[in-house]
Amino acid sequence: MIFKPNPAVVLELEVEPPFDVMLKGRAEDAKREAEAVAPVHTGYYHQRFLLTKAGKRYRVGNSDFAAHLVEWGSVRNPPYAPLRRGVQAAGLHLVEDPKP
Amino acid sequence: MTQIPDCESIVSAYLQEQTGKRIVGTTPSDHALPWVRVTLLGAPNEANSPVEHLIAFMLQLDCYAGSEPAEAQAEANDLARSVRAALADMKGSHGGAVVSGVRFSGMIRLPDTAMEPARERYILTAHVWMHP
Repeated sequence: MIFKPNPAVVLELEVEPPFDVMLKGRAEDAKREAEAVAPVHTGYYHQRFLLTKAGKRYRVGNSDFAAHLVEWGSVRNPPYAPLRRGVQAAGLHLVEDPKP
Repeated sequence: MTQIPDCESIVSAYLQEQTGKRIVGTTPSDHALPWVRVTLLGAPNEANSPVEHLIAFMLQLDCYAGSEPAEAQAEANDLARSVRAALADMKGSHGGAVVSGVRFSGMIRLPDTAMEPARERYILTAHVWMHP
Protein backbone atom coordinates (compact mmCIF):
# COMPACT_ATOMS: atom_id res chain seq x y z
CA MET A 1 0.00 0.00 0.00
CA ILE A 2 1.40 3.36 -0.98
CA PHE A 3 0.28 6.68 0.48
CA LYS A 4 -0.29 9.26 -2.26
CA PRO A 5 -0.88 12.80 -1.03
CA ASN A 6 -3.93 14.51 -2.50
CA PRO A 7 -2.82 17.88 -3.94
CA ALA A 8 -6.45 19.03 -3.99
CA VAL A 9 -7.12 18.27 -0.32
CA VAL A 10 -7.37 21.93 0.73
CA LEU A 11 -9.79 22.76 -2.08
CA GLU A 12 -11.90 19.74 -1.21
CA LEU A 13 -12.02 20.63 2.48
CA GLU A 14 -12.97 24.22 1.73
CA VAL A 15 -16.24 23.15 0.10
CA GLU A 16 -17.24 20.92 3.02
CA PRO A 17 -20.12 22.34 5.11
CA PRO A 18 -18.25 22.03 8.45
CA PHE A 19 -15.47 24.21 7.05
CA ASP A 20 -17.95 26.92 6.18
CA VAL A 21 -19.46 26.70 9.67
CA MET A 22 -16.02 27.02 11.23
CA LEU A 23 -15.10 29.98 9.02
CA LYS A 24 -18.34 31.79 9.82
CA GLY A 25 -17.77 31.18 13.53
CA ARG A 26 -14.33 32.77 13.39
CA ALA A 27 -15.73 35.74 11.44
CA GLU A 28 -18.42 36.20 14.08
CA ASP A 29 -15.70 36.17 16.76
CA ALA A 30 -13.86 38.97 14.95
CA LYS A 31 -17.09 40.96 14.54
CA ARG A 32 -17.93 40.57 18.23
CA GLU A 33 -14.46 41.66 19.31
CA ALA A 34 -14.57 44.66 16.94
CA GLU A 35 -17.91 45.71 18.41
CA ALA A 36 -16.45 45.42 21.90
CA VAL A 37 -13.59 47.84 21.21
CA ALA A 38 -15.47 50.23 18.90
CA PRO A 39 -15.97 53.79 20.17
CA VAL A 40 -19.52 54.71 21.11
CA HIS A 41 -20.77 58.30 20.79
CA THR A 42 -24.22 58.38 19.17
CA GLY A 43 -24.27 54.62 18.67
CA TYR A 44 -24.65 54.98 14.89
CA TYR A 45 -21.29 53.43 14.04
CA HIS A 46 -21.56 50.79 16.74
CA GLN A 47 -24.84 49.48 15.32
CA ARG A 48 -23.57 49.12 11.76
CA PHE A 49 -21.13 46.25 11.89
CA LEU A 50 -21.82 43.73 9.12
CA LEU A 51 -20.93 40.13 8.46
CA THR A 52 -21.39 39.16 4.81
CA LYS A 53 -20.45 36.20 2.67
CA ALA A 54 -18.11 37.01 -0.22
CA GLY A 55 -17.55 33.93 -2.35
CA LYS A 56 -15.85 31.36 -0.15
CA ARG A 57 -14.93 33.98 2.45
CA TYR A 58 -16.70 36.02 5.08
CA ARG A 59 -16.23 39.78 5.32
CA VAL A 60 -16.56 41.84 8.50
CA GLY A 61 -17.13 45.56 7.97
CA ASN A 62 -19.15 48.59 8.96
CA SER A 63 -21.68 50.46 6.83
CA ASP A 64 -21.31 53.85 8.55
CA PHE A 65 -20.34 56.39 5.84
CA ALA A 66 -17.59 57.65 8.17
CA ALA A 67 -16.32 54.18 9.11
CA HIS A 68 -13.01 54.81 7.34
CA LEU A 69 -12.37 57.72 9.73
CA VAL A 70 -13.01 55.54 12.77
CA GLU A 71 -10.77 52.75 11.47
CA TRP A 72 -7.89 54.77 9.94
CA GLY A 73 -8.19 58.21 11.54
CA SER A 74 -7.40 61.59 9.99
CA VAL A 75 -5.41 64.72 10.81
CA ARG A 76 -8.21 65.60 13.23
CA ASN A 77 -8.72 62.27 14.99
CA PRO A 78 -6.57 59.25 15.85
CA PRO A 79 -7.29 55.79 14.43
CA TYR A 80 -9.48 53.65 16.68
CA ALA A 81 -8.93 50.60 14.44
CA PRO A 82 -11.79 48.48 15.82
CA LEU A 83 -11.72 46.04 12.89
CA ARG A 84 -7.97 45.43 13.04
CA ARG A 85 -8.00 45.21 16.81
CA GLY A 86 -11.05 42.95 16.70
CA VAL A 87 -9.33 40.48 14.37
CA GLN A 88 -6.32 40.33 16.68
CA ALA A 89 -8.44 40.03 19.81
CA ALA A 90 -10.24 37.07 18.22
CA GLY A 91 -6.87 35.33 17.94
CA LEU A 92 -6.75 35.51 14.16
CA HIS A 93 -3.82 36.43 11.94
CA LEU A 94 -4.34 39.91 10.47
CA VAL A 95 -3.84 40.41 6.74
CA GLU A 96 -5.49 43.60 5.51
CA ASP A 97 -7.73 43.47 2.47
CA PRO A 98 -9.84 46.62 2.75
CA LYS A 99 -12.70 47.24 0.34
CA PRO A 100 -11.74 50.09 -2.01
CA MET B 1 8.51 45.94 38.66
CA THR B 2 9.05 45.40 34.93
CA GLN B 3 7.75 47.98 32.48
CA ILE B 4 7.23 47.17 28.83
CA PRO B 5 9.28 49.22 26.34
CA ASP B 6 7.92 52.54 25.05
CA CYS B 7 7.49 51.25 21.52
CA GLU B 8 6.19 54.51 20.02
CA SER B 9 9.23 56.44 21.32
CA ILE B 10 11.74 53.82 20.29
CA VAL B 11 10.29 53.35 16.81
CA SER B 12 9.94 57.12 16.30
CA ALA B 13 13.55 57.80 17.31
CA TYR B 14 14.78 54.99 15.06
CA LEU B 15 12.77 56.18 12.04
CA GLN B 16 13.90 59.77 12.60
CA GLU B 17 17.50 58.61 12.50
CA GLN B 18 17.03 56.34 9.48
CA THR B 19 14.86 58.56 7.27
CA GLY B 20 15.59 62.12 8.43
CA LYS B 21 11.86 62.90 8.12
CA ARG B 22 9.43 64.37 10.66
CA ILE B 23 8.24 61.51 12.87
CA VAL B 24 5.50 62.62 15.25
CA GLY B 25 2.92 61.30 17.70
CA THR B 26 0.30 63.94 16.93
CA THR B 27 -0.50 65.90 13.78
CA PRO B 28 1.93 68.83 13.47
CA SER B 29 0.61 72.38 13.15
CA ASP B 30 2.79 72.99 10.06
CA HIS B 31 1.57 70.85 7.14
CA ALA B 32 4.01 72.16 4.53
CA LEU B 33 6.55 69.33 4.75
CA PRO B 34 5.88 65.56 4.79
CA TRP B 35 5.44 63.83 8.11
CA VAL B 36 4.84 60.39 9.63
CA ARG B 37 2.43 60.01 12.53
CA VAL B 38 3.01 56.95 14.73
CA THR B 39 0.07 55.57 16.72
CA LEU B 40 0.08 52.55 19.02
CA LEU B 41 -2.97 50.34 18.36
CA GLY B 42 -2.25 47.43 20.68
CA ALA B 43 0.36 45.81 22.92
CA PRO B 44 -0.69 42.25 23.79
CA ASN B 45 1.63 39.77 25.44
CA GLU B 46 2.99 37.32 22.89
CA ALA B 47 1.63 33.80 23.44
CA ASN B 48 4.14 31.30 24.80
CA SER B 49 6.23 34.09 26.32
CA PRO B 50 6.43 35.09 30.01
CA VAL B 51 3.92 37.76 31.00
CA GLU B 52 5.08 41.29 30.16
CA HIS B 53 8.26 40.08 28.46
CA LEU B 54 7.77 39.76 24.69
CA ILE B 55 5.14 42.22 23.47
CA ALA B 56 3.57 42.12 20.00
CA PHE B 57 3.06 45.86 19.42
CA MET B 58 0.72 46.88 16.62
CA LEU B 59 1.40 50.33 15.17
CA GLN B 60 -0.22 52.51 12.53
CA LEU B 61 2.12 54.79 10.58
CA ASP B 62 0.40 57.55 8.57
CA CYS B 63 2.80 58.80 5.90
CA TYR B 64 1.63 62.21 4.66
CA ALA B 65 2.87 64.17 1.65
CA GLY B 66 3.77 67.84 1.96
CA SER B 67 1.60 70.67 0.71
CA GLU B 68 2.97 70.79 -2.85
CA PRO B 69 0.30 68.93 -4.89
CA ALA B 70 2.32 68.25 -8.05
CA GLU B 71 4.19 65.18 -6.79
CA ALA B 72 2.20 64.52 -3.65
CA GLN B 73 1.27 60.90 -4.38
CA ALA B 74 4.84 59.97 -5.29
CA GLU B 75 6.14 61.82 -2.24
CA ALA B 76 3.80 60.02 0.16
CA ASN B 77 4.51 56.70 -1.54
CA ASP B 78 8.29 57.18 -1.30
CA LEU B 79 7.96 58.15 2.34
CA ALA B 80 5.87 55.07 3.17
CA ARG B 81 8.29 52.74 1.38
CA SER B 82 11.28 54.33 3.13
CA VAL B 83 9.60 53.90 6.51
CA ARG B 84 8.68 50.32 5.66
CA ALA B 85 12.22 49.47 4.57
CA ALA B 86 13.72 51.06 7.70
CA LEU B 87 11.33 49.20 9.99
CA ALA B 88 11.98 45.91 8.23
CA ASP B 89 15.67 46.34 9.17
CA MET B 90 15.01 47.23 12.78
CA LYS B 91 15.85 43.89 14.44
CA GLY B 92 18.36 44.39 17.27
CA SER B 93 18.87 46.66 20.30
CA HIS B 94 17.29 50.11 20.34
CA GLY B 95 16.61 52.51 23.21
CA GLY B 96 17.10 49.92 25.94
CA ALA B 97 14.88 47.32 24.29
CA VAL B 98 15.36 44.47 21.83
CA VAL B 99 13.35 44.20 18.61
CA SER B 100 13.06 40.54 17.70
CA GLY B 101 10.77 40.81 14.68
CA VAL B 102 8.84 43.13 12.39
CA ARG B 103 5.94 42.26 10.06
CA PHE B 104 3.46 44.29 8.04
CA SER B 105 -0.21 43.34 7.77
CA GLY B 106 -1.11 46.09 5.33
CA MET B 107 -0.20 49.22 3.38
CA ILE B 108 -2.96 51.26 1.77
CA ARG B 109 -3.29 54.56 -0.06
CA LEU B 110 -6.05 56.59 1.64
CA PRO B 111 -5.92 60.35 1.01
CA ASP B 112 -7.00 62.31 4.06
CA THR B 113 -10.22 64.10 3.17
CA ALA B 114 -10.27 65.97 6.49
CA MET B 115 -7.83 68.37 4.83
CA GLU B 116 -8.81 70.69 1.97
CA PRO B 117 -7.70 69.71 -0.65
CA ALA B 118 -7.40 66.07 0.39
CA ARG B 119 -3.81 65.28 1.39
CA GLU B 120 -2.08 62.25 -0.09
CA ARG B 121 -1.41 59.62 2.57
CA TYR B 122 -0.24 56.03 2.76
CA ILE B 123 -1.03 54.01 5.88
CA LEU B 124 1.16 51.19 7.16
CA THR B 125 0.09 48.70 9.80
CA ALA B 126 3.21 47.27 11.40
CA HIS B 127 3.71 44.60 14.04
CA VAL B 128 6.86 44.98 16.13
CA TRP B 129 7.90 42.28 18.61
CA MET B 130 9.92 43.90 21.37
CA HIS B 131 11.16 43.02 24.86
CA PRO B 132 13.16 44.79 27.59
